[in-house]
Amino acid sequence: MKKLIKSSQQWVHKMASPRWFYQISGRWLPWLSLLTFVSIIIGVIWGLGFAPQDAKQGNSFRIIYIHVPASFLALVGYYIMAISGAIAIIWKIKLADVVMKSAAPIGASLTFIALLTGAVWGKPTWGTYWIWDARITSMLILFFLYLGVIVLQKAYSAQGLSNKAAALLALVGTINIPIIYKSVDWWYTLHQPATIKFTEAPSMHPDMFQPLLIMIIGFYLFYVTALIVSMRAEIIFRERNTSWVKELALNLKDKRPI
Amino acid sequence: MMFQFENFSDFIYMAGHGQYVWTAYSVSLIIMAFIFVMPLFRKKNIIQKIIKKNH
Repeated sequence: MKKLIKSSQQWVHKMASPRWFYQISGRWLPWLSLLTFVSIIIGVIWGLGFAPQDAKQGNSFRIIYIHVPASFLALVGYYIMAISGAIAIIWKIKLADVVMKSAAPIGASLTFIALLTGAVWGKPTWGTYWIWDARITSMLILFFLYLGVIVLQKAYSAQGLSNKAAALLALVGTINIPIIYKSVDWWYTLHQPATIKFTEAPSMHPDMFQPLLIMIIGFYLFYVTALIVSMRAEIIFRERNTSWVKELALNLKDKRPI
Repeated sequence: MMFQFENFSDFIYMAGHGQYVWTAYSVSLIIMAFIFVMPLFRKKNIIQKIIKKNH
């Protein structure tokens, strides 16, 4: 039993080693990038040209194929950031800290995309780019929470303290996620209720829903790929004085002069 | 599954909604490309610095 615990501990440590992650993710990355690219291209062409237009909203409805996946990943990404921040401060796992740091700018960008596409969609549909309703305001708060985490990571000269503060803000901010999710039910709002619910069949016609599903898969893949690319850069930065990174850099120099 | 537009200019115009739809798609995809490419440049930069230092 003791042996089992010890070997599983070793496994966790190996998994969480930045060097190991760098090496294994290098093998995944080409495939992930290809899958991401293909699914988003298919989703975009399908959504822009082949999905039927909405009976009420016309062609502006096509914005849904960016807006919904971006919003969805902005929320999922927040949980990923907050949970890895918690793991980083509780168990002091370096790789979790790298995840938190890399997840923040990606999440902020996706939240920005969600707000922007929502605004651009609002103009032809509601007649205004912006209203201070519950869904939109709580989404704006999400954007500021992401920015807060990014700023806090750079706030203190002691890296450990910065990370702790950022992780704490991320954790407190998770309260906002169910509020965003439920905002369309709790408050009167212009924003339409959720198109996709986990508990029910989608309210959309399959011709409209299929490209949306492709786009959600594409955005998920994009998220994972972008996170890995960003983590790899962060790992190289943090381990820049170790022998394995020096070796890697010199190997790269011999193979192809950069 | 059919292409929903008569011709290319219809596709661009989208019955008056083209400006909104194309703005949303293009800005979003540019931001996403940016998030993807930035760390690649960052990594290249760091590796170049390491090479310089150890030369």
